[in-house]
Amino acid sequence: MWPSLADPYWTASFWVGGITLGLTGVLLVVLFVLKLTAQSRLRQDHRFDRTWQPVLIRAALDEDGVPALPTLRRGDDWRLIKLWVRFQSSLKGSARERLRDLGLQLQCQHRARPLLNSPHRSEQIFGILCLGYLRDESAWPLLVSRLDDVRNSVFIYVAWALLQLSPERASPIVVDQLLRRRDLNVLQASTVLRPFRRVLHEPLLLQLSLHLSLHVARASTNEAPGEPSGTDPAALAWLFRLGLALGLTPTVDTLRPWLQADQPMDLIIGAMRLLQGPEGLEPVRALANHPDWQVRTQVAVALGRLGDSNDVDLLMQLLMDSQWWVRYRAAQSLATTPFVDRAAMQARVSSLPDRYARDMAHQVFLEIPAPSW
Amino acid sequence: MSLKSSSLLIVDDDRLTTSLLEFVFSRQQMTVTALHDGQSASGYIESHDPVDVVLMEVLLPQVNGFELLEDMRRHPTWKDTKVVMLSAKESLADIQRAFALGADDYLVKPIDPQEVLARVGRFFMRRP
Repeated sequence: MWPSLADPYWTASFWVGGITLGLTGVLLVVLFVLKLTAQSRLRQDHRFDRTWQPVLIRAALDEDGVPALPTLRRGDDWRLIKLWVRFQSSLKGSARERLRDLGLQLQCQHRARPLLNSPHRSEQIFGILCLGYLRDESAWPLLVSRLDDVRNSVFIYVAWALLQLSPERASPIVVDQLLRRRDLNVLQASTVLRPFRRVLHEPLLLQLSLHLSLHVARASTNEAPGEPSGTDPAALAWLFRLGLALGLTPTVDTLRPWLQADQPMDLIIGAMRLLQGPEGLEPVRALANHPDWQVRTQVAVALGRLGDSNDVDLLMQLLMDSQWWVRYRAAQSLATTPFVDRAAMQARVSSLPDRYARDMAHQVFLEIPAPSW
Repeated sequence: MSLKSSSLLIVDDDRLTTSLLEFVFSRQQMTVTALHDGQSASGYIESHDPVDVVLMEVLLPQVNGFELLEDMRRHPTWKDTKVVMLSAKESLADIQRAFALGADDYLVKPIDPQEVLARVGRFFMRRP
């Protein structure tokens, strides 16, 4: 005998089963529609690229002027901006300029602006890149208003676009933002802003000299030795990191206050990394016996980079350090030093009394071939 | 020997760059072949006669540009082919490595088509 639907368990099962089946059906229809939409979008993308790619190539490479332009369909703005920006980023020189002229002729500046309000980050970034490549001055206020975007990846492209528009005007604003955003991906920032490194140096050096002035003012009030330098150490350490990533080369005198043993470890290391040229060697050598092994590690690196023949003995001493990283970096510096040839270096290392130093040096010498100069 | 009627192989996974270079060199009436990954290029080298010039990206899928260059320099018929490396990698170490492996030139992306043309054209110039 079949159970009756009047049975509440059967009724519940019936409805649960029915609804599940119905929802599965709806889901399948949605998936089907999504697949069709994606395929249609892909077809339209291919159609657009087939039509416009040769046009952009001819416009970029033909000195004879812009070829006849196909009609842009509704909804093609995003495709045009995407393709145009990709071409711009692949080219340099006169080809890039000719492509810019075409972009202006196609009113890309007006097509790109709405993309900045898109919910999709990629569309926003392409819109920002387009305005930057076009160097359209009227986009300045719009781009400045996006500088405080909480997403660092968007900010960094806004900074790039502003620098494209006016490097001198943009550099202090960009540096101010760079200094505030301490969670920024430094590698990404240095890569994207690479073409503008030089123009960013001036405001960065200005910031560094402000820290120096604060330090001097603090020192002149006769603070006890070992007191903080009068500036925010975290801010200064971040400035050092940014400076390093952007290829800043401050003078030794600007860095000297933070190359003292009583300074916080982050600042000593940051300042040492920024040092260029042999003028910075004396303060570095003086830090070779610093109690913090991370400072000694950086001393080993800095001596390898800047040191002269007088520093080989100091590197030998660091090779016998109690910390593995100090020994490792000292061995790397010894392996690449041009002042002692490899055979002589091997002999000197073999005569060291410390077994760990000898092992480290032999291992690193196997990893790094002798310099060929 | 001139650019006209000479042959060029472009190996780059960036299809936009490939299209640009194809346009530039086809206009010089060169025979241009474009491939988009290292493995296809490897197969091409094994199965075809050498071309006059190869323009090759360093960062390629499957087999990278440095490996391809090494293979080419060991190959009995392709070993003398002129090779220009193209890359966004601009560190001194990468450039040194390319030359150490036998590259004839190294160009950093983004490219200036006129510059690429001039660099490749250099291989076909007769010295006075």
